[in-house]
This record gives sequence, C-alpha cells and structure tokens, in this order.
Amino acid sequence: MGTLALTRAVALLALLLMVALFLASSAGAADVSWRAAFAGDATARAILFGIRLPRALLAALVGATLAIAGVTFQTLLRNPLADPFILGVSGGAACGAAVSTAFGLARVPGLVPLVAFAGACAATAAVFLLARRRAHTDPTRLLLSGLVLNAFFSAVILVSFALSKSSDLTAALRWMMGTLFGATWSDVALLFALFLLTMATLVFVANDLRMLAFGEDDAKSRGVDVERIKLVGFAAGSIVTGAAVAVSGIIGFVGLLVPHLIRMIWRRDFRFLLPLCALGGATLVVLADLVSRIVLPSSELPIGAFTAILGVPFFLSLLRRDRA
Amino acid sequence: MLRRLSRTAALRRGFCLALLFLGCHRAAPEPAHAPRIVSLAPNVTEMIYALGAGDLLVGTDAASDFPEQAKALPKVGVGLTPNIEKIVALKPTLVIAIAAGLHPNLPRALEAQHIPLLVVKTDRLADVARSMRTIRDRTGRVQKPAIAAMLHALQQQRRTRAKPSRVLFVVWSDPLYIAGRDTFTNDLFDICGVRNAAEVSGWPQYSLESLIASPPDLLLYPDHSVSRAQVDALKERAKLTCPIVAVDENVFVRPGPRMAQAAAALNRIVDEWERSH
Amino acid sequence: MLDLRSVSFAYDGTDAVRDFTASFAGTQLVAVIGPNGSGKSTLLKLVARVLAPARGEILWRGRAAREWPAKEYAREVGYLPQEPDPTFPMRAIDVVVSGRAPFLGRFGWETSADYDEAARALATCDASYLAERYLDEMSGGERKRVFLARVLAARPKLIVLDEPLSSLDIAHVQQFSALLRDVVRTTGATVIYATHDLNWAAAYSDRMLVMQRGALALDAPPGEVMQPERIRELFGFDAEAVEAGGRAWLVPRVQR
Repeated sequence: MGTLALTRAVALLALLLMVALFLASSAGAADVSWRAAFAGDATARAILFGIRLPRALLAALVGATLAIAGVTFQTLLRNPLADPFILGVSGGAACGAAVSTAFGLARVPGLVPLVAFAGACAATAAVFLLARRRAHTDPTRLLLSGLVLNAFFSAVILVSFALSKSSDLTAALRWMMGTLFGATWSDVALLFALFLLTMATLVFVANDLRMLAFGEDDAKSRGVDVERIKLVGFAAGSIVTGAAVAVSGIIGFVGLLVPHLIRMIWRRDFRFLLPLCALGGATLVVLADLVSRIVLPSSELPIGAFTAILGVPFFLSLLRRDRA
Repeated sequence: MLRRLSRTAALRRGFCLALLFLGCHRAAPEPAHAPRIVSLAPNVTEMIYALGAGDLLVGTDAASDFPEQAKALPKVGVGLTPNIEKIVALKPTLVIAIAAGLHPNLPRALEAQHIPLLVVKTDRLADVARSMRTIRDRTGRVQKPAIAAMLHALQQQRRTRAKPSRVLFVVWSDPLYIAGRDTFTNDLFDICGVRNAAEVSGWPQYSLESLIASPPDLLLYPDHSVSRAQVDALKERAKLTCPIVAVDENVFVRPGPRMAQAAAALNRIVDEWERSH
Repeated sequence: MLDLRSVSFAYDGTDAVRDFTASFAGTQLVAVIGPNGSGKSTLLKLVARVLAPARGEILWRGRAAREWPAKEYAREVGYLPQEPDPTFPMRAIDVVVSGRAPFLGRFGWETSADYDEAARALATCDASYLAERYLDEMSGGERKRVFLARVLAARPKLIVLDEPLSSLDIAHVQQFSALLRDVVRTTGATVIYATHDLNWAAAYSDRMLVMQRGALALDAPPGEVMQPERIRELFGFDAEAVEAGGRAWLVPRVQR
C-alpha cells in the first residue's frame, strides 16, 4: 500500500530535480547552449560538461546528503530541531577540514575529507555525551550543546587560520560559509560514492529506524535493537555530513528545512521520508546554487543565503496552512 | 566588513602552494606561441602592461582598472572567486593569479579544464620584480627593460634620514587593521627611510591601546576603503595629534610596477612633515 | 504461559523490582497496583523485554524471554508505554499499522492484509472513525484507543499496558476499563495493566497484584484485596468499605 504512494511521490520529486538540473546546467555567466555543445563546440562542451554539470550534480548531492542526515537525526532523536548544522556536526567537519588545510595537509589527496569526517564524528560524539542525562538525550541540552560546539568550532577555524603560516581568511571563510565554487568531477564521484553507501545503509535499517519515532522503549518492545540502530544511524549521518562539508563547506538549513517541508506534504514515516528528502534536498540546493550564481552578473553570493531565501517562505506558508 | 577582511586577506602572506607553483613554472620553456592571458589580480594586470604584454590579455578580474586600456577588457568576476565559465569562454592559454587569498578550489577547477595557472607571490616588495620576471618568461616579451627601469626608479627613492619618523598605515579603521612588519608596505617604509610605528608582523588587527601608547608621527590611510570621517573618529578615540594623510589606494596597496610611485609619494609626505617640524 | 522467577532489577544501585515471582496464564485481566515508585512500570518493562532482569528469569511459554528472537517475542507480547508519542504528526491508521512491524521483513512494507489487521484492531477499540485523523487532532481518550489498537494489530497473546488510565477523565476511565474487558474477551489474551486506582482496578480486573517498594505484596482476586485493614497496611490509605452492587468499594474514612 505504501509503496505505490511512495513511487508516485518519488517520481514527482525526481521530475522536479530533473527540471532543476536542466535549468542549472542551462544558465550561467557564459552564454553557451546545449545545442552548441552537442554540435561539437569545444568551449560549450568545456563549460557545460566540465563546469556546470559537475557543479549542478555536486549541488544535488550535497543537498541530498544534508537532507538525509537531517531526517535521520530528527528520527533518531525524536526532535524536530535536529539537523547536522544545529547539532554542530557540520561545524565539526568544517573545523577538521579547515585545521588540516591551515596546516598544509590539503595536498595529501583524500586527507581533507577524511579529517572532515573525523571532525563530524567527534562532534556527534561530543554533542551526545554533553546532552545525555540518565540514558536519555534531553532535547534542550542537545540544542544547547550544539550551539556551544558551533561557537567553539568557528573559533577554532578562525584561530587556526590566524596562527598558521598560510594565514588566510578567505580559506577559513570557505569552510564557514560554504560554496560549490570550482566543483570537479572527482568531488562528484567521491560524494556520490558516500551518498550511495549511506543511503544503502539507511535503507537497510529503515524499517527498524522508523520505529524509534515512538520512543526507544516502544521500539525495544517491538524487537528493535535500539542501541545498534542508533549507532548505525548516527555513523551514517556523520559520514555523509563530513563528506558534504569536505567538498562544499557549511551549507546550513538544508538538513532542517527539507525534512520538514517533505513531512508537511507527506506526513509519513522515515522509510517514506528518506528517499523524498534526498530528492527534495537535491532540488533545493541545485536551485539555490543556480540563483547564487546568476543573481549578480559575475560574482557569486553565498549559497547558504539562498537555501534560506528559497526555503523559508515555502516553509512558512506550509506552517501557516498547517496551523489553520 | 567581509569585503574589507578579504581585501586585507588578499594582501596576506600566501600559500606554500604558491612557492611550489613558482618552482614548477620557472623551469618551463618559453612558449612557442604568445599566450592568451587572463589576469586575476589588478597588480598582475599592471605588471603585464608594464612588460609591454598588455595585448596578450584577453580578460581580467573586476578590480583591474589600470592602465586605462585594462578597463575595456572582459571581466571574469572577483579575483578570489572568479567565474570559471567566463574564464573558459575566453579560451585563455594562461591564467595568472596571486598567491594571497587564492581559493583552494581554483587550481583544481582550472586543471580540470586543462588551463595552465601561474600563481605569483606579491607579498613583499622584492616579490614584485621576481614575479614580473616569471611573467616575462612566460609571455616571451623580453625586449622592454621594464623591470630594470622599475628597480632603478625605486632606487631613486631610497633615503637615509637622520631621525627616521614613525609612520603607521591604517588598512581599516574600525576595527583597526594596520600594515605591520614583513609586508610590502613596510618594505616601502624601509626604502623611504622611515620606521613602521607598529612592532607587529603581517596585517593584524591592532589594539587602540598600542596606538595610544606609542602614537605615530604620521598616519596614512587608503583613500577609497577608509573615509576621512572614519579616520577622524579614530583620531578622536586615540587622541592623535599627528598629521593624517590620505594616499592613493590603487598605488599603495597594489604590490606592482607602480611601487616606485608609491615610494615617491611617501617621500613627499615625509619630507613635508620633516620641514614642518 | 508467563512465568517470573525471582526477578530483580535495579537502576544505578536502587532496587526497582525485587525478587518478583508470579505466573500468568489464560484469558484474564490483571491489574498491577501500587503507589508511585513501587516498581509497576519497571516490572512491565521487564516483561516487554525493554529491560533485562539483573537476576532471576522470565519465561514465556516455557522458554527464557532473552532466548526468544526479538521479533518473534514482539509478535506474541505487546507493550504500550505510558506516554507514547510519534513525535511527528501521523494518521491513526499509519500508527496502528506500525504495530505490524514485527511481522515485516527487513525491506518489507505493510501489505493490504496488514492494513486489514489494523482496521480490525481499530474496530475492536471502537476507533474506526479515527482511522484517517491525525493524532494531534485527537483527545487523550481517542489517542489511548488508537495506541491500544496498535498493540492489538499484532494479535499478541500477552498484552502489557503501562498506566493506560492515567490522564483520562472519569468517563474515559470507565470507557477504557470496559474496553480492556472486551479486549480480553474477544482476543482471548492475557492483559496486564498498571494503575494506581484501586476501585477501578477492583471493578474490572480478574486479579490484582499489589506492589510495594519493588516487591510483590499481594496477589489475589479483587474481593480479597479490597479489605480496609489490608489496604491500610499496604497503602497507608485509611479507608472504609461500602457495599454497592454486591461489591465492596473503598472510600476514604472521614474524621469529623
């Protein structure tokens, strides 16, 4: 019964994503067309296949990744405010990436994503240790811990760049503000691999994970190995967040906004929300990146601003309708 | 504020990566064909024109406004995060950027497009001639003795003063950022025979207390980034009595071929101050 | 079918359940009563396998509970926590059908047969009209019925309910107590529920277990429990018995 509705919803959102990707790869600073690219124009090919397409796809992957991390954290913590950015997981990843860049480790291939991932995991662990009280994760303490950790990570990023010999604020800002500038196919490949891995893991545990929505005791009584599912869920969420931050820096709000948007339209459980969040998050970030690239003729605006500008009015209108 | 910060940042000491690039490219053979160049920094644009290679430029960053011809060239966006699509559309065979503030993704993005990137270091005065030589070797324009002329002009400005006055160069007034030691501005002070009133190194945020404790004899500020009103407010807060002089920002904060002009201007300011004391 | 043998459990060194021994079998409604903090919730969590006993053994149909595969045990023993809440808005029918989870494979989705079970369970709880409504639009009594239906959707042989009557007004307490009786009759299951309301428990249950500081103080039919001297001894409740409808009711003794 659920599968038919899911198939329909997935088809709808996949179509939206396709349209967004088409728009994103058709518009940009340079005046080139797909027709010219297929006719064999070298410049058009270089711009469309070498610049726009990897960037649009990377935007889609970053959005999908942050949204599934968000919906996973929200379900695990039974807290509508859980999100990789608010919990400090993104900040931990950015901190790891920034510190390793500041100390010249960026030249070792694959090291920055690895350190970003370690940062994300450390932040996840820290935030839960701080928020845990008698075997329960207290929502207020959780948010407070995330807030404090975020402030700490921002400080470490700034200080590490100020202290390092290659002191450079733009590099620090790159991690803190988030950008898809200079996306390459190798970024796309790396994030796609981790996205697939995480998605597969989450699908594998989805039937158990959604039961956590009713509380840990309830899930245990239904035969769910709660501790194992929590571990798997948090690890998966941290891995993808780490990878997304390593390629794009911190793009806030997606992990919070998208699951709520999806839930306002389809009020269903985690199994249902997971693929829809992936597609919805992808669409939102592709569109946000498109706007951030074209709104000014030749400079780029921070993409995080546009995920908020595009998402919030939609979010608020749904919230109002929901209240009525 | 962020723009100010990144402007400051752009002036800062660059990546080690840049040295690596310099090392690689210096050994490169002279190109058979004259390159099509995109410059990503105004001082690089000035160097290219000074070398008589302005005709090779097919595009520049948005801030490149000197010499006058540079304004007419296609712009590829802000130097720190240029628009890569626009660069590719100009079909350059060489992109030149400065090491300070180089976006870590830029080298990879251009490499993916098979567009060679030359990163030059322009943090100190001595770097200017070095970078110009590197660019000259890559452009193949060796007939014009631009570098020697520039170095000669700089030597002309060298002064030894009996009692070196203490000068402070304000980059931004609130919060206070200044030019410290180990910067091209400090190198300029050395040439003109004056001392930097600040003991700190780099382009740091400077404490008002230090400013009050050891006030400079002369305070300079860039005429575009900082307004007279802002610098007056600083003067009021720090109870400064020294003369405050605006300098041509595009000459003073661009470590390029016009550094001799900057030195000459500084000498004029200092000479006048010495006469009045 | 359910045997508890000298079961003990402690939170951080504080005993919650001590040396508890009892057996349950057949179609009956069992009320576990006792003052707050007497270990009722902990006892039910042990039965539902939410907690594992520190000492002693719980046997379900002759086999130790911990040896049962988790999902198989969950199909036979249903549990309703004190304040269940799905965090995010859900339709009643989706809540109820999630009770079928122990029957689903790893990638399985509920089939129409599962939805039929859910509809049947809602009907048993007189809650069919709630199926398409969202939980956050319901009254406390309606929510309780939906969650009871969720437990019933798995057709368990043993049903464990933690304080199902708390936060209900008196009309709903009566309604829900009657519903529990019906459930016992129609499903043939053993239903164990925790409550601290003596009179309601006595009126509807077949058997009462009185807990005191984690230990089983009395296990008897309501008629034997509802005696003023006994109640004063167990609860410190100064009561007098009033006869009505052929039963003894305990009312507070009022000093004038």
